[in-house]
Amino acid sequence: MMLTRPIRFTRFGTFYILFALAVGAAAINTGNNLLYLILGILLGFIVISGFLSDSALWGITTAWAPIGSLYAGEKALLECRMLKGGFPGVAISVESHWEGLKALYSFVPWIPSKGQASTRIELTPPKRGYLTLESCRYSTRFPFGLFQKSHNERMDERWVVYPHLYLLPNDDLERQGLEASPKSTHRQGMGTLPLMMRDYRAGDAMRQIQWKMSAKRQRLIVKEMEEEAGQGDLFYLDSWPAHFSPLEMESFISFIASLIFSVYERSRPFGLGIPERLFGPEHSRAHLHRIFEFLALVDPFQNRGQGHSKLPVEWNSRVIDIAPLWAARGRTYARPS
Amino acid sequence: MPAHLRPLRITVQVAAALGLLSITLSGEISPPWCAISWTAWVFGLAADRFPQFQARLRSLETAAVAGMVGTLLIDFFAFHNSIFIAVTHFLLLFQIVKLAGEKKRKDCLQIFVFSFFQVLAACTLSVDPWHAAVLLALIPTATAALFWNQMAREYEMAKNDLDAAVSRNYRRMAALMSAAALPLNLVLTVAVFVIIPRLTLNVPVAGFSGNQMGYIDQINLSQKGNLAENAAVVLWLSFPRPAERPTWNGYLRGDVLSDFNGHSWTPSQGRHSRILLPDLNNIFSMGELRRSVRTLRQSITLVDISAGTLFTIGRPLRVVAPLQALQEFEGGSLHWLAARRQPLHYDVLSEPFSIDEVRAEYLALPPVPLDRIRALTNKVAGRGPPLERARRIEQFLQKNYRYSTHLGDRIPDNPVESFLFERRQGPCGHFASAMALMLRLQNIPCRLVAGYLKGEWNEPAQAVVIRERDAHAWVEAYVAGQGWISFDPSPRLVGAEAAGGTSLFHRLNQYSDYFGLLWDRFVIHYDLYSQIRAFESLKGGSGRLGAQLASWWSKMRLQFHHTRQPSREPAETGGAATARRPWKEIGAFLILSLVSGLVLTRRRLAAYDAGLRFYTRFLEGMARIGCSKHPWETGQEFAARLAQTRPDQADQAHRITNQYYRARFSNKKPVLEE
Repeated sequence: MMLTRPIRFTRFGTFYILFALAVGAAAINTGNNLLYLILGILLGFIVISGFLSDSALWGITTAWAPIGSLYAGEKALLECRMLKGGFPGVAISVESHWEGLKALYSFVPWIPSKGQASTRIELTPPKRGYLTLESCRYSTRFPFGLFQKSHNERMDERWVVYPHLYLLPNDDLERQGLEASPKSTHRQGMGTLPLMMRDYRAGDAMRQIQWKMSAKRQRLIVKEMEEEAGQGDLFYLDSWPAHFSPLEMESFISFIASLIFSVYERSRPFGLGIPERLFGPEHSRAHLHRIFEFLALVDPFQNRGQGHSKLPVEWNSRVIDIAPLWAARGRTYARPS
Repeated sequence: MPAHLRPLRITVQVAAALGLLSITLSGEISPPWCAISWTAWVFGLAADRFPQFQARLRSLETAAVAGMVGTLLIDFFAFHNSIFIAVTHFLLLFQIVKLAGEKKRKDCLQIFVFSFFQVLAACTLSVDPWHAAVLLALIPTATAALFWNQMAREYEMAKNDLDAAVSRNYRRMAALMSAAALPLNLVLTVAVFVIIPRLTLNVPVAGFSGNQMGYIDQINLSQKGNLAENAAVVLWLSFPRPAERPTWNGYLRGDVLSDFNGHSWTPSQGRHSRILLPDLNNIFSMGELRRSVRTLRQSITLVDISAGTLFTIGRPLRVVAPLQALQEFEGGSLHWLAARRQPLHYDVLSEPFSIDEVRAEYLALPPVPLDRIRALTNKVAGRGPPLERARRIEQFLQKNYRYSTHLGDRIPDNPVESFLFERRQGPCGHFASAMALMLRLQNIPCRLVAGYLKGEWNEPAQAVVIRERDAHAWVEAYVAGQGWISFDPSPRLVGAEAAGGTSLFHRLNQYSDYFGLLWDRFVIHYDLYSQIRAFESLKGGSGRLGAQLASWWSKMRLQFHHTRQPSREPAETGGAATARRPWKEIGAFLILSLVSGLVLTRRRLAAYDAGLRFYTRFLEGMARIGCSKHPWETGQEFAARLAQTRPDQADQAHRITNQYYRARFSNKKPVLEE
């Protein structure tokens, strides 16, 4: 962390200094002691201002953290927690510089002495990958607005931005069996492990209805069991598309992430097999974040046409190829020859 | 009204009051202006209840400013007011409009800036110690006003409003800053005031004239109306030898006036003068010291320097003053030559009588009808030696005429005749003129002297304070064989200083005057010479301190040297003298240190009971295993963090923290077992 402390005159401060100089010149010219007194008072205010503004900035440390996950193209909130030792921090402006973004500003009216205060900024990460906070500038015009004193702090902090997510239409999902059909499930017997709760559909067996939950929600709820849904879905991509432009590739990765998220939302175990890595089926938030982080940082152009992931032999879940799904959405998808 | 603007408005209202107070105290602005300004100030307190009026005023603001500029020009060019008065009128007008109108942040800032300029203008118009009080009050007010202005600006930029908690914090901060800014700024101001060199370059700036004349070296009898009493302090007179004070006859001479044209007295047209230059010690010599004549020493601080005259008791022989040159006129009146803008302090050695020669103009008669006056003079003076005749005339005027500051309702053609036969009352100038004319009609050479009479003894300052209202005129007549003798025909209180009384108000007034003297001496009169003297005394003081320290240190070294080598001393000195060993001092020092240490430790131990010490040990233990408490964390927050990072320690941490809280904050302290 490197600190620099630039100082800048405000417009009011410039007038003030010029006026003080004029009074000083008049005092020296006339020898009028009252002018010397007034000059002394004016200079005194400058010294007090410098001392207080320095005290207000001295000893500020910051900790930045996103609130929730960051998704490309989605508005996100980042919280800056400012800690202050000694003198309170008054009217602190925080100017944060982000890689690939315009500087963002926020205002902290008061940081108590030996206490903390927080401020939030809203930003939209432009792309997946890393969001880097390059530097931070804390400035104040406290107490009199004569000068703007600031501290520059080199930060170099970064957070992972997940690919852009969007809602996939139900038709696409149904076509691949990812969305349950509106028809009722008529299967022999019930499983032993509960999988999910869902709304009652016409034709569901009465014994499947979870009466307690239905009473609570004031509508009929059906409990589906594990064995009926199987062990989840594995989305599989044997190689990255060959002819995609970077923009199309980003869109494709975003599609994969949205696909994964759709399945996660439906409480089914999910996995992902792509050329670089294989994520086994599992239904957990941590698993979702692992896949998202991988998708956020993966560079498909490095490994295009190479390194096909191998499916485990003992895999008995449904394996869904991502390519047809993508093609079904009206995009052309050419496998590498 | 937005919350962030409320404190700013209150503060600038106070600043405006200070500006107006300063202007009012200067006494240079006419009462109607002051009355209107104060009315606008009072209206400003409730102006927000008249939004329509404020909106109307806002729309007319540009036209109002144009009108004010016009007023400024008319003031300066048509009414011939000084630039300072004109600018002050302009500032007052602007302030009136701003106080009555809508007060947004910028308006508030403008009101504050104009208030500051008003104080500045008032300081320029008159130099009173009151302005020191106003300036002192302005420092915390300005601190608060600038602070609230900046905070309001921040909130304007953030498009937000103050919440209650932040507002409370800001109020505390403003109060703290205002309280701290006063002493800090005073120290800095004094430092700047003392250190910055008094160069007094006097580069002329067009449009800025010098001081206005207050004292004039002539007595004009052709006046009407009333003489207003002016209580402004002119000078301070002190006697370096207090025993000489009773010998002072109460007269302080200024200019000598010998030409009379029937209407006014002026210094002689062809009067002789000589230039006096000081010696290396700034001493001016006017004449030889005569052993036979009693001399009088006096020390004078001349506050009002507009006359350019050095007032002295009797005829000055030696003057010590920080001046380049002096001009001595007939009768021993002294003037300085170079322009001066600061009060003057000088010391005088004088003799009571003037011995200069008699010239023809001291018998010159004015070109006005004198028959009635001659007849009266002959009747009053009678026959006898000149001194007796002069005494008779003096007593005749003192007994038969009344002192009055009323000059009459019309300007008479022959003022002396009018005074003697018609009005029979008037100020001292009329009495002195009548006596001088009557003496000249009796062929006794005489002249008028303008100066001051008596004044008032100021106990705190141990000096006589002389005010404008003490200005006086009397007569000096030449009596062969006795020289120039003073006569005062005016039936004023003579022979005793003005009775002051012992009331609290009088005492306060004396202290106020004394404060004024200190202000003049140490602030207004502070110049390059004062700076040099101050630094020299500082240097001398530090030198003395250094010498004392060095002497003390060498003594101590010697004593310890003797203490370390006890065996050799008796042999070297032949056993005649043994060095004193400072065992007592060392013992006393050690005992004192021990007692102080015990007292301090006891206090410290009393402050830390068992619970607190245990908690401190707990924190140290936690720090050793890598969980140190942050300075901004409370105990509970630390315990909560610990519960997350070290779940195994959670219960213990909460228990110890609770005990610590009880030990520290609760009335029910934990028992030792807990």
